[in-house]
Amino acid sequence: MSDILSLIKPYKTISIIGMEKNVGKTTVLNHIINKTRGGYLLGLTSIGRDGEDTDRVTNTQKPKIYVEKGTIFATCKELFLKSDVTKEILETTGIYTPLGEIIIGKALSDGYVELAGPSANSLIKEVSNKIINFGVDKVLVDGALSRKTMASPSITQATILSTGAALSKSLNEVIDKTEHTLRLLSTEKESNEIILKLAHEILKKARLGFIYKDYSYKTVDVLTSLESSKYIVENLNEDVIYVVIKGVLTDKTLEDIIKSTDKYKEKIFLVEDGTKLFLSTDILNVFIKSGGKIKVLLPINVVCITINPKSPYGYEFDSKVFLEKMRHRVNIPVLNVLGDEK
Amino acid sequence: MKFFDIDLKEIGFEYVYDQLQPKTIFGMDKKRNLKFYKKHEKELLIREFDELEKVIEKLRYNNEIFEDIETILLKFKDIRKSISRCKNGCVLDEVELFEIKNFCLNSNALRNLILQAGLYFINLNSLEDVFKLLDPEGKNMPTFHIYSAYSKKLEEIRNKKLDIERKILYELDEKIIDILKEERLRIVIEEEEEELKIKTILSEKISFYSKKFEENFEAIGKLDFLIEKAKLAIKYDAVKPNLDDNRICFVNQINPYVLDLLRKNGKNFVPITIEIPFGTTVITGANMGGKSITLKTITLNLLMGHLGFFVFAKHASFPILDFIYFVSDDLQSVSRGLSTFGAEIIKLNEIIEAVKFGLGFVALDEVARGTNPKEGYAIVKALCKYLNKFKSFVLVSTHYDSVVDNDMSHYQVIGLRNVNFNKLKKDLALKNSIEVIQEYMDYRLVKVQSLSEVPKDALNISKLLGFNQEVINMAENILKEGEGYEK
Repeated sequence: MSDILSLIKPYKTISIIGMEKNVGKTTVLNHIINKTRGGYLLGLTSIGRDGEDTDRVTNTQKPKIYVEKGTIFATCKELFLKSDVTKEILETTGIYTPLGEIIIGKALSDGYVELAGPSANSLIKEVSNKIINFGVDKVLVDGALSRKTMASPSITQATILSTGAALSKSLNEVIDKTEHTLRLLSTEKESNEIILKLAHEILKKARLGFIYKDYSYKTVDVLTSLESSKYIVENLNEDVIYVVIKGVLTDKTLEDIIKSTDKYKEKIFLVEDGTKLFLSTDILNVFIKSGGKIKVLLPINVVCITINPKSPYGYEFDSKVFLEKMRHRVNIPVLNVLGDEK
Repeated sequence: MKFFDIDLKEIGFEYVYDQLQPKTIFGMDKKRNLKFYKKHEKELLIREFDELEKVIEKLRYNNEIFEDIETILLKFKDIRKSISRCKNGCVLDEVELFEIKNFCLNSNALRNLILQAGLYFINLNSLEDVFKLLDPEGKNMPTFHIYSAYSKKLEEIRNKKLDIERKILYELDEKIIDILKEERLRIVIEEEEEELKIKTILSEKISFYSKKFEENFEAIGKLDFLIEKAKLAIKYDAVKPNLDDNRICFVNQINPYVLDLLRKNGKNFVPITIEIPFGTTVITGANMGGKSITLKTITLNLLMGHLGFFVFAKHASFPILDFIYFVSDDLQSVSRGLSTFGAEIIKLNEIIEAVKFGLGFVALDEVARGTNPKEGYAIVKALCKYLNKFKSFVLVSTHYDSVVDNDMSHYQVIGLRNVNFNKLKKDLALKNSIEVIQEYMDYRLVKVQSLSEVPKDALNISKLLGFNQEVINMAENILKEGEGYEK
C-alpha cells in the first residue's frame, strides 16, 4: 500500500472513486493522508457528499477523514463548522450547495473533517484551482461513481479506483465488475482535434449530435438521454461518422440501436467520459463485435486499484486470493487498503 | 393614484433598465426599487441630478479610479442578514465573522477610493474598529479564525489539543490511540465552549456598529447604482433635465431601444424635437410615419427623468408630474377579459379622473382605432377637446387630421411631403420593397400653424405600392368632394 505514494507522485490533482459505498474509499483517503504526513501539503475536497458519520443503510461506522495541521480543505458551510480541527477561514467561494456555501479553510490543528464539495465538473475544477492557489502540493478529490453525480474524475490528472467485498458476496463477481468498470473508465479518448472541437460545440447546444464526413454537424434536441435511441436510429446514414451523446449511454439505448439498424457500424459514438457509460459486458461486447465504436472526449487516467477484502455486511475474502486474482485481470497496480504494509 | 401606468417594455424602458448592471446586492436593491420623485421632492430630485452629473464628469475624466472602485464593489458580499442577526442578539458563526471582517476591509478600501475620486456626497463610515476587533493579532489579513489572542484560556486549551495530537501521531498501539482520541474529543468540546463565549462577545460588540453597517449598505448601493446610471448616460449622450413648471420640451431626443434596433440594420434614428404646452397636443401624419415611436420616446424620457436618470436628448425640460400615462392601440386587458376597445375606455376614464386632480402627462397612441372611423373620429375629437381644458399635458397621435381645434398645438410628421416621387418610384421598381419607402420617409415633426390641406401620404403610398388605379381615382374624387366630411 505504501507504494501508492509513488504512483500518485507525478500528479497534482488525484481523485479517489469507489465502486460502491463501503468499499473502503475513505480508508484509502485516510491512508494517503497518513502517508504524506510531513511530506506533502495536501488540499482536500469532494464531489457530492460523502464521509458521513454512519451509513444509513448498513449503520456501519464510516471513517471520517483525519487531517494533518496545515491541510487546506473545501467543504460546505454546515460541515465546515462541524469539523473539529481548529479552523481558519481562507475564502468563501460563492459556490452554493444544499448544505450551504463552499468554504475553503485551513486546519490549524489535526482533526476530523467531513467533505462535501460542489457537484458540477466546472465548479469542482474551480474549487480545486482555488485550493492549489493556496499553495498545496496535491489536491485529493473524494469522488463518486454514480448516475446521480454530474462531476467526473476526468477533471483530475489521476484517479484511484476503490473496490471491495461490499460489492458482492462472490469474489469472482467483484473481480468481474471491477475489471469491467475499469474498462469503461479507461475508454479510449478521441484524438482528432477537429472532431473534439465540433463535439464540444455540440454538447453546448444539445444532448445529441451527428458529425458528417464533411465535418458539418447537426444537433437534435432530446429531453433525456434515455429517449435518444429513437433519434439516433432516425439520423444514422452513410454520411454520419460520429454520434455525440451528452450524459449517460445505457444498455437500453445500445440495445434499441442494435435491434433497429445496422448503420451504427464503423461509426464512432462519443461520450463525455467513461463515467457516462452504464453498459453491461454483454451489450458492450455485442456492440463492439458487430463493428460499433465508443470513444470519450475526456480520458480518465486510472493509476491503480485498491481492494478492501472486508465487507461491512459481515463477510470477508481472503485478501491474498483477492489481490492475486485482481492483479491477474488488470494491467495496472492493485493494492490492499487494509494493511499489507508489514 | 398610480404614478405611472405604462407598458415598460413597449416604450423601450426595459431595454435600458436591463443595461444597468450593479455590482453589489445593495446596488441591485436600488435598481429593483426605483424611486419615482414627486412634486414635493423637487430638492431631492435636483440633488440626485447634481450627484449623477458629478459622477458622469468624474467617470469621463478619470476612468481608472472607477475601474478600481468596481473591482472593490464586486467583492462585497451580502452581510445584511448577519448584521440584523447580531442586532437581535444572535451569536454569529465563524463564516459570518469572516464575511464581516472582509466587508470592513473592502469598506475601508472603498472609502479611500471615494476620497481620491472626490465623490464627497458618498458617506462611507470607517469600520476600522470592527476590523481591528476581528484582527486581534494585527496581521492585516483577510482570513479569519477564533484567534487564541482572544483568551488566555483558549490558548491553553489549544496547546493541550496540539500536545495530544502529537501523542496520537507517534503512538502505534491502536488501543492507546483510541484512548487518546477520547481525551482529544474532551478537549475539542472545551475548545468549542470557549470559542462560543468569544463569538458571543464579538457578536455583541459588532451589534453596536449595526447602524454604521446599515449606513454603509445604503452608501455602497447608492454609489454602485449612480455609476450604472452614469454609464448609461454616457453611452447615449443623455442630458441633465431642466425642471420647468410650465412646459415640456425636448430637443433631439432619442429612444435607445429603437436607435439600437435601427443601427443593427444599418439605419439611423431621426431625433425628435417637440414642445408641449398645457392642454392637448395632436400629432398627425401618415401610417409608417413614426408617430407611435414619438409618443413612446417622450414617455420614456419623462419617466427616466422622474426616476432620477438623465434624459436621452440634447436638451430636456419638464415639470415634476403627478402621473405619466401611456395608452396605446395594442393595449390588452386579458386579465379582465375585455376587448381592446373596452379596455381603452376604462383606461381613458381613469385618465379623465386623474387630470381633474393632478398635473400629469398622458400619451394617447391612436386610441379608438379599433372602432368604425366615424365614431372613432368623434370620440377622439371629443377627448381632445375635453382634455384640452385641464392643466396637464395630453399628447394625442391620430390619423384624423381634423380633430385639431385652433386652441390646440398640432404637429405633423413631414412624411413623404418633400419627396421626389419619380425618384422614389424608380427606386421602388429596382428594390421592390416597403423598406424603400421607409428610407424616404422624413420622420421629423413640424408644427402646424393653421389647418392646412390634408396630407395625402396614404394615397401616395398606395400608388407607389401599385394599388388599383381605379380605386385610387375614386378615393381622390371622394376627398375632393367631401374635404373634411368628418366635420
